[in-house]
Amino acid sequence: MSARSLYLPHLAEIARVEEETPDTRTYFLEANGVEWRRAYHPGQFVELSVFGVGEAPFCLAQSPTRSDFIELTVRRTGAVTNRLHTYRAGDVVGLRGPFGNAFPFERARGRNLLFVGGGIGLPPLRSLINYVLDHRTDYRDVTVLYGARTPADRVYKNELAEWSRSPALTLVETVDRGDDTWTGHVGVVTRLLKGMTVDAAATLAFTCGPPVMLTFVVAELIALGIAPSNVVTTLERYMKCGVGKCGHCCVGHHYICVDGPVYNYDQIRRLPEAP
Amino acid sequence: MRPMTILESVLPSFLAALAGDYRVVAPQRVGGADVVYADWTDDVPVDLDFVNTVVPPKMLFFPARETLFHIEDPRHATLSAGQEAGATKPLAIFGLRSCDATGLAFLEKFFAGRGFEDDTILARIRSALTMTLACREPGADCFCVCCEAGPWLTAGFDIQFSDLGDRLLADVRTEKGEAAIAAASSLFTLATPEDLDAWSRQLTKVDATFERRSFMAAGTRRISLGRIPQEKWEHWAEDCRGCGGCCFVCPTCSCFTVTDRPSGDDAFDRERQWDACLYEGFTREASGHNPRAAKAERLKRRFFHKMSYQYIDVMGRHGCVGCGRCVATCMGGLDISTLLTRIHDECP
Repeated sequence: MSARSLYLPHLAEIARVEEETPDTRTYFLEANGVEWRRAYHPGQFVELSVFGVGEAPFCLAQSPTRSDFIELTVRRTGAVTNRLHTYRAGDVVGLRGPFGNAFPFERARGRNLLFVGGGIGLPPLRSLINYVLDHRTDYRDVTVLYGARTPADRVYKNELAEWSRSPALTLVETVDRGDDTWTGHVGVVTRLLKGMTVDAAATLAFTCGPPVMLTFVVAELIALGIAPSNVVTTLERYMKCGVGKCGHCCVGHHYICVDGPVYNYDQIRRLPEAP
Repeated sequence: MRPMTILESVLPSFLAALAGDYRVVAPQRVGGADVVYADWTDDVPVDLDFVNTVVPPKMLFFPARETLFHIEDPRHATLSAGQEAGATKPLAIFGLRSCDATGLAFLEKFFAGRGFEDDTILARIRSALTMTLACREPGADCFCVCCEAGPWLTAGFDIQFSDLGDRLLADVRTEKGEAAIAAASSLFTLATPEDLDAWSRQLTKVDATFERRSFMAAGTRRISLGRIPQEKWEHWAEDCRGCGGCCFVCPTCSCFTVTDRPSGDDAFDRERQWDACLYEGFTREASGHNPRAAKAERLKRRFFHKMSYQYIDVMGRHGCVGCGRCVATCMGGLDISTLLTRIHDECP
């Protein structure tokens, strides 16, 4: 079979599975045979095959500067992810990629970076946050705002604890509903933005999360004076091929899998089917 | 190569001469008015008078359903080849209509675009010998003349045949075409000045018989600029049955889905199948969220994809070749020709 076939996945063995939340797990995939395992960019994604069920797109959740594994953080939602959640270490999945454009990490140099993540929207941001932390002197202030429904719904709990102790960034967390152990903010993540003082001209904001959150966060970021072109997010669409062929992810004349998934809000506003 | 002619009576000998190097496909009447492209054999007459085939020849290059690879033992995954590229002979397709040849060129550009080459499909297209047949009269639904896609071509074929009555004139434009003629050179003679005259008169006459309509440019402009009121889309979309027929019969439609289909004990085939943007599930996500849940949005999407400047900018032309198949297929009158006319008439 032709090694150049666009649709033939690399095989990758699951090395380890970590439980993030009751419905979300991180899969650490052995990627020894994958030549691009350290040659992707934060913001890119892969097509993950659970053979016999199908393929679905997932963001590369770790910075290429870290980990010997390909890390994917997956919420149990549809057919592919439900089957994947029955998989354990030693099981084999397929990977194609890396696909899509990337976060504008070059343009981010010398700026203040403000990350706003909601729920399962943290994984794509985390790949860039860790990339930035590994090139820390290239950037100015780094602030991460993270909101989850409940304390149990927070992903990367150990890493969040590390970030909260780190002098390299400022982490502020909030949950929609707290519990007995929660001592942090309660309320939607947008509230953390209200009244924040930012050096708007020097700030690049990155936000990922559920659509309803994005609507409010983007409005708030723009209200803070940040230019729409400096508000960066990712568009999500049903996808099959990842290579601009199958047609499912088109928005206007853009193929999200090739032209995206990373867009700034100025670009999004000009799409004919603006989300 | 200067234009050649071949007697219609010896056309089968020419096709037989090609059969060594190629899988020869030609239009054949299968009953009633239906003509399809099928493997040519000596005993089935080649139809030279058909208007158009039911399904476009894209299915020969981009099959409605094909296996990408086989899967065994899914949790541990042994993968093996689907169809070996190059395992079959290249196609020699005789009697390709101008609109379909234009559609095929469009598909080639599409499957080579956006930085990723679909090798399987491109190999089939690029290895093929394309022998078009210039149209002599338009079918009831044809509007290729409004789409720079016919009724005859000046480029985009290996050999273009024109029917001059008892003989066909062969306009040869590529080395591949020259080689094909050279392999059966005794069947061809150099076209005479009279042949060339007859050819020229025919092309001029044909051009005049195809009805010219001006709705393409107007449709493109209004669709690209978003000048069509939402309520118009909603009104028109009421007549869409969501059958996807317009997509399947379209020479330029290329959307597909991919599924893992059980093929045996703990074995699956990963298959690619044609898909249609008018299907409700086309954009439905695992969460249930569907950005194009409304039929009007899907209809609008199809026309934006086919006709907008935004896509013309990428593809070099709009995505309609005027073959008229969607006119014949759509029971809701939402084909390109009819709806662009309505856009022209109803949305000034």
